Amino acid sequence: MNKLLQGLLSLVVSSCVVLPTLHVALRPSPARYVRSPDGPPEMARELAAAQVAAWDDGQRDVARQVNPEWDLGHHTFLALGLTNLAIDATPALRETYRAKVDAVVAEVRARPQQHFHLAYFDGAFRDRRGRSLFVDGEVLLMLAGRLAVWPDPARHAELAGLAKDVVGEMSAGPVLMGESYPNECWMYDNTLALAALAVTGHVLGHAVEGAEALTQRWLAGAARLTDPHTGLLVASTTWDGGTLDGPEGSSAFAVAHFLELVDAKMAREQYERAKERLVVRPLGFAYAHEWPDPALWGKDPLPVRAGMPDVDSGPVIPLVHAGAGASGMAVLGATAFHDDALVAELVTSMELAAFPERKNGALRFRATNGLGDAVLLYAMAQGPLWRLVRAGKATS
Amino acid sequence: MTTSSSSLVTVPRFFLLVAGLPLAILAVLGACGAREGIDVVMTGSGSRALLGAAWVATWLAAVIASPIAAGAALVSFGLRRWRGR
Repeated sequence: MNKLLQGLLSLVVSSCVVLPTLHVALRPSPARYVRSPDGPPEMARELAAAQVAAWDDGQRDVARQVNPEWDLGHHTFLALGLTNLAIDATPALRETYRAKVDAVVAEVRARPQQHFHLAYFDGAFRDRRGRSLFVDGEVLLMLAGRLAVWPDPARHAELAGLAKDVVGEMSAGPVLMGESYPNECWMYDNTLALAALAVTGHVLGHAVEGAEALTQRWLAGAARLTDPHTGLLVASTTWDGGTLDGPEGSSAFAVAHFLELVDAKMAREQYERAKERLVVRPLGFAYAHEWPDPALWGKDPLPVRAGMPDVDSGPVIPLVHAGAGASGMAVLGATAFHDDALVAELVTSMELAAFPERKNGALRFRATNGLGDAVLLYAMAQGPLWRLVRAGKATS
Repeated sequence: MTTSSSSLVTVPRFFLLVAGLPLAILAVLGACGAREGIDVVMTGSGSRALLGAAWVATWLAAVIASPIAAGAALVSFGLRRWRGR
């Protein structure tokens, strides 16, 4: 046997053993990423510890120069993550989290809407209000979550006022899609707003005026916002409902999660379709594509902005087409729909390629930024708030 | 016979070298603080991003290629023993 043949044979045999078992060496124990009856997974607490410390240091770490939208996303996911963690926390920690959530909400509300948008926000909105549902919806969800966990009837009027604005912004659109940029409506923002209205109704003890009718009409018209080639809701539309961005991984998983409070059956269907169309699971690892396979469109034209990486998608790794934003949001989808097998594979990929850094019980991922860490915090912590709303009971 | 035997020995040695190389480079990059540059790989540029990118590439090589090369060294060593019986 010559050297080359021996080398090749050795390499093939070794690869056949090592590659299928590599994930075993990298996979953390389930307690780190699966919620137990006693509370959130260890990763949620560690991510929260790192982010609370970073917040106290004045760090926002979201590369605003690249995308100011990340700044709002960071605030929202941090606040929602801490809100969920507070439900199972000790009284002292619960109070710490309340103070942080209040500070996060206050910081967002102190800024003009433009602060969280790219430059083209300064155009002519189709809706005469000219407001961003991106900001208004996320503020409403943060405040409603805060008041669901730490009740304060004195702030109900403030909450109801914000909810009224959100109902107005969505109801004004011909297809019930509120704008976040001039003539640009995002599915993420609109489904988040519907979830925020559901949480608000829970807090107030009655539905927000117009919210139930809006939600029913929106659901009835959802088919026209759905891409027929994938069965997934499109990522963005014009005010009139024309598709701008087709289905996207950085949107689809979160949309499914938000819809859980609106229509559980539709939410589950969207999650399963997103998983089928976007998730790749090689050798015990997993990641998500930003866009479905263009072959699904056959001879039909692709959506206007198909395959164009943007500030929402984050970087897309060449060859394997792994989307950073899509993969992070896939963790949220998998945890929300109790898909523990997929969570395990996604977390294993993070151990391999997201460069976790653990120090003194705090965890951050070096390959992402503050928004990525906050999304992962929320993904690991989410569940209690949605359950609270669904059960329709208040906490004290 | 001597030539054949020594040529067989070089295969596992080659794989051991390949297995160890990324680990050695990783140690050097670590000493240079390259791991601190991972943060800016996604959005930044300049020397820190370059070092961070080098760290990412070498880390992936160390995690994936080193075990395969180490396994290949083991297999080729076994083949040598089997051939020597």
